[in-house]
Amino acid sequence: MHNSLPTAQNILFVEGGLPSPHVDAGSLANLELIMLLKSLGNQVYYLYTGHNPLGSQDALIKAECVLINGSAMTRAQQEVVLKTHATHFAILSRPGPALQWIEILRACGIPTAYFGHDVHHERLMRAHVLNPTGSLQSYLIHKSIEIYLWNMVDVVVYPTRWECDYAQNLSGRKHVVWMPIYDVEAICRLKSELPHCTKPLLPNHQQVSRLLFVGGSNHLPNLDGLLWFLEVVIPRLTVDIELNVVGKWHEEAQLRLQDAANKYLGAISSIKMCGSVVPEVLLQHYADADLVIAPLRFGAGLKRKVIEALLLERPLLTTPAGVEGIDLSEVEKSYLSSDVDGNKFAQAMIERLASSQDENQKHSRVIANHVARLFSLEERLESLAKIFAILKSS
Amino acid sequence: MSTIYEINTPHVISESLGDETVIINLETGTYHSLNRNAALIWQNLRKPIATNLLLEMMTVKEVVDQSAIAKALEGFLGVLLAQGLVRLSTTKSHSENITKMSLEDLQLVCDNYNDMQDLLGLDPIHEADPQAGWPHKH
Repeated sequence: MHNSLPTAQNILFVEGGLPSPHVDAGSLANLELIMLLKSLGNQVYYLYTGHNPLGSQDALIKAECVLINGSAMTRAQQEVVLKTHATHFAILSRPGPALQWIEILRACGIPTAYFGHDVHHERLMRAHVLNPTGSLQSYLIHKSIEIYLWNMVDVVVYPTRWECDYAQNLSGRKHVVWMPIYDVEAICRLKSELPHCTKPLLPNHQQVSRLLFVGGSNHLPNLDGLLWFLEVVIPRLTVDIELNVVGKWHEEAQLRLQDAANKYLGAISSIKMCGSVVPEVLLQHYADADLVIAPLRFGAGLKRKVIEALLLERPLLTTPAGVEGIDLSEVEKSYLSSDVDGNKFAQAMIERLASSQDENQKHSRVIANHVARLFSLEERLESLAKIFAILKSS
Repeated sequence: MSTIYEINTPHVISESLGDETVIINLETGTYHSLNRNAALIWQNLRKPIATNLLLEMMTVKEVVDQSAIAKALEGFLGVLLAQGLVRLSTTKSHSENITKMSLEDLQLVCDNYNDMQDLLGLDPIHEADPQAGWPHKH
């Protein structure tokens, strides 16, 4: 199968903007995929359509990618790009940019993969089920477009098996490939560079338990999850907490969190908005946390914050939505997650904070090893080989 | 003589759930929302269909004047045609699996929206109208 791995190919990678890995897990996944392709000897042309104004060229320049500003291109200009760079294959990231490029790629006969990150319309539907106000228009638009893209491209790639099955069933084609997207070796290397992250956890005798949440407000499940945590879980907690929130939060979202915190946090408990941080600082936050929380009520795809905490062997409590798509045993899932129920989540938190730190460490290590195997380089290469086997036969 | 219409595929795609139907015109970058009455007709346009067949399958509460129904249908199909959502078909009208349409009244609504760019993270690219850009700004 690995004979199908691409080497010395010109691959066009189309995305909405430059990577912003500090605020966007999708950017990080893109960069990791690009690095994997580069490591096999391919040339990657990163074309950004310019919609997303965030991001920087730094990581791409470091990876020796060729950058192409694809803002407001006409069809003729698109064709020139494909011909100038002798494009062998294309990877389209996310629905918007994919929609802009799929027609010209097909017209030029370039085999194309769609890297969806998550099934957007399913995420929107899950949000609608939780908060059934407003119209379903956005859901219906995304569903139309995602199904259209699935039918137009040669390969569809998702990071969870349920999304692959879902896309395959709706499109009626057998061209969907599961790919574990994250570079777990890189995360594990970070862990080993900071020994304090792996040392046994301190006995939990602090008066205030330190909690960590990682994620920004741009991703709606994060805002929803933290508001739910503050409004529903916190009033049921019998311990004082210091909640550190790492990630970029817009002013309005911060105000909403602060309002909820003022209303529901006791005199001793507190919330601190830490903003976007560099990896070293993030690791320090992980190291300092008594418990990492990911109280997600909905979402789709894989949750990097969950994978990251697991690989760093940090004590984690999330929800079924948080562990969805990770091939864990039922025992592991029940250890890591609690139902989206204020009483149950609060109780699970209290138990985890009070439990033996040795026991926590032991569980965390076993799960980390398991996750590292699930997302290993070998697994990623195997998926990549499957993707390119289909592309080459297209 | 009856006219035959069909959805303007592949550039026009649509999805429905419950009473909501959304149609997207990928060439213009616009999307459209149908009311329930209009959505019932849209379902029957998925294959080429003649207007007389559509009329035969339509009933409207408290409306007995068939010419009023025909006029409303003609007007609605004209709107869809103008928006590029349907086209005149030269193929034979299908006559199987046509769904009966029980309309509440003669309000056949197709609302137009231009903010798909914001929803999807798109920027102008198509050459549908160099002056208006893509999606069209009205």
